[in-house]
Amino acid sequence: MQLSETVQKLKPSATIAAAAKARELKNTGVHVYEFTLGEPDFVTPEHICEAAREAIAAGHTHYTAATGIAELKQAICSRYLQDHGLEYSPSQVVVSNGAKHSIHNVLTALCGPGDEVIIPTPYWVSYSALVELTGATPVEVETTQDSGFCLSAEQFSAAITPRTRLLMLNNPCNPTGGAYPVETLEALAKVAVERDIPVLSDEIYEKLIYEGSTFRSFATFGEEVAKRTIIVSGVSKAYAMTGWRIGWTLAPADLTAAMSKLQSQETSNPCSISQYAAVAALEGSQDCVETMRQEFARRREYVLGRLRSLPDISFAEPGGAFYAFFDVSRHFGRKLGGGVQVNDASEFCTALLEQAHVALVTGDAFGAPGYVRLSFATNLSVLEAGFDRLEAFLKG
Amino acid sequence: MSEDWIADRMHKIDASGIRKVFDLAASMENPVNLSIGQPHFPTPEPIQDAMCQAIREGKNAYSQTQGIKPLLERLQQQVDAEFGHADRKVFVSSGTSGALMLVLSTLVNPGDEVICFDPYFVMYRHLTTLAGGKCVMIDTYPDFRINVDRVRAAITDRTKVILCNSPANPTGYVASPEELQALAELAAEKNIALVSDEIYRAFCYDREFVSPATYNPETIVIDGFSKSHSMTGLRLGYVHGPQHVLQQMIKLQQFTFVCAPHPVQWAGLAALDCDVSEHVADYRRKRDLLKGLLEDDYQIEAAGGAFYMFVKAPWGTGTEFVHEAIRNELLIIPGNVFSDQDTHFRLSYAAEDETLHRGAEILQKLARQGGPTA
Ligand SMILES: Cc1ncc(COP(=O)(O)O)c(C=O)c1O
Ligand SMILES: Cc1ncc(COP(=O)(O)O)c(C=O)c1O
Repeated sequence: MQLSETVQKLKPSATIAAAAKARELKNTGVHVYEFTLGEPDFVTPEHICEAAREAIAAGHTHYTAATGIAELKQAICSRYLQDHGLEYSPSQVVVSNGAKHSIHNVLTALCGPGDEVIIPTPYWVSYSALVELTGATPVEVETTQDSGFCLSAEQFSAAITPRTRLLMLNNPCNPTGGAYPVETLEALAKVAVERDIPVLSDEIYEKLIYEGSTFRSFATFGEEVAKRTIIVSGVSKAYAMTGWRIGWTLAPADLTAAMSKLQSQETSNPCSISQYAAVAALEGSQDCVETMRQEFARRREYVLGRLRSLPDISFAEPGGAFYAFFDVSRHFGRKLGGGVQVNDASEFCTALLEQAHVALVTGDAFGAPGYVRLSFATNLSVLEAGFDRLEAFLKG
Repeated sequence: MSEDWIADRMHKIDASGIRKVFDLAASMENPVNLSIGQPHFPTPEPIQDAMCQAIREGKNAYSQTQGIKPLLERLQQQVDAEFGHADRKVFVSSGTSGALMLVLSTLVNPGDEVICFDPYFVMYRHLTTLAGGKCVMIDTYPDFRINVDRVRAAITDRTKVILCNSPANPTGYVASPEELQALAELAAEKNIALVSDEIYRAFCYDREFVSPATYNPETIVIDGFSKSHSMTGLRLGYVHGPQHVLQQMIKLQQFTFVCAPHPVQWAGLAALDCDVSEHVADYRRKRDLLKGLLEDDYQIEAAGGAFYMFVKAPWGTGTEFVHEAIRNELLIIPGNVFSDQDTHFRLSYAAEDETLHRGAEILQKLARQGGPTA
């Protein structure tokens, strides 16, 4: 059977592949120190689970409106008003099966063959794949460690062509943890308005921000900016709800209408019970978000301390999310643990897994050769043991 | 945001058909509703309990893309027992419609043709368009049978997929083993992917359910828990078919929906042990009841499965007739929502008996009045 060319061209997610490799090794009885995960290691807070169980008991197991229940849309709008001073109306919300699905909706509604989408690198693997699925071309713009992996207004400007359809920003960023300084964002917003380029701002890690960094939603730089902004976010990371599959877009009403039409014909509503759980997450006490953030902050401190003491490693401090992203290229060609030599980050990760049983994700998967990603969504004792092993591995 | 930002493909899909009906219905005060596309019974309790338990046990994080192991294993056993195909694998999808989107995106290249049977389930047309393909409709009026000669005649160099749906929405037609065998063999002969949407397979009243996959091991089957277990809101589907196709679909799910909601997958596992035959028997009874009530005034074709009847309007177009029905407080769906022609209307008998009686009364009156009153 002949399959679709676009789908065949997609490379399977490298993060998943890394996790699968680690699992294989585990299945042979080896204890693996795993730092590949892109999700909080906490369970969903109890009051949210409780609301879900109540919704089940109340019989909310049937189709809902395709783009989400009114209560959830309202809860989303209220939260953005409270947290960011942004005034969105429910007619600007589409609730989907996770933020990834939301990104798919945006790209499908906006992009087609011949269009270009600007993506700053290092970037989350799925971005370019999702763009390619629409027939559009991802245009990668490399950001540097010095800038904290933030795209500058000049870089953005220079990448714009008559075919540019969209800029995809991810703030805070997976894989770098980079959190955009307000001035940088504001400068980008100015370019977006001047050149009339819509911006998809993936803000799914917005609640995970650490000392020294602040978060500003892209839509907060005035009406002209908001008119060109599509916020993508969801409950996955802030409320430890990855398995519930709830994400959303906040966008201008006409684009929202297009995405609503799309979703009603492609998937219909996201899980009804998850929607009620998300209402509880957004409307309930936000203490759980802060508690989890503090735990991540402790781990981050620990991780940064360990990274600083590793030989010949460089990195930019992550201002948000739960990833450390560091350059290991100076170790290429040297004798590492078990006497192995490696030539790139992918080989580095394979050797590290095989020799030291530590699983990281190669930067090659994020458009960042020479780098590796370590997720600190795991407890301190595992981090400690993992770093001990990583350190020994680097010393050869 | 300027209108010209919207991609071309968005102008080719249209969700307005059914919306127009519901807009009209918004003014109804106490509608007799025979338009519902989902079972009217509550989700069986063991399924609810299993979901609550999964939530309590913290099964709330991403699952693997293709679904949780215990559910996969059970489904695989079921599929192996039914078909015994060496290369038939299973994965769990985010809803049945999600699976339809994945399969069409996986199979269709821009310009490819997808053969569907008219009347058709609305999403087929739009999902094909979104994948860049073109629907080629096979007219099945008046009895909604699958005429394989017509399918053969419609095949071109660009035909990529044949999409069949038995029991069918909106007609309730359950295809015979002979029709399905002929269709399955034709697809195999022409090396065309056969996709079978079997979401209503639990609801067959007059003959046993047969899957075309029985006759063509390469058939890709789309199934789900929505209708059989009254779980429409929960979004759980599954797919079985040749491994190389499924691999691509799973990859695409990874990039879009990631996985079906995790606690819902545990609910699905419980659903596999849940006997719904009482509900099926109830729908058969409802089918007989409604058919009996309407028989004097309407000729009812098909209606051997699912919970729909697709009935010819006694006068006017489907749309005109439905407008008059709505004026009389009866909510039904005009046939042109599901078809290139506008001659019929869809009734759903997933409703209380009392509603069926009231609906039938209005329909009798409408047929006998011979035209609109306004
Ligand atoms: C940058 C980014 N955006 C979106 C998502 C998707 O989240 P969801 O679980 O809501 O689909 C992720 C998850 O890893 C992510 O890292
Ligand atoms: C023929 C057919 N296929 C698929 C679906 C979609 O099912 P789900 O709600 O599980 O996505 C429906 C729902 O009405 C249907 O009638």
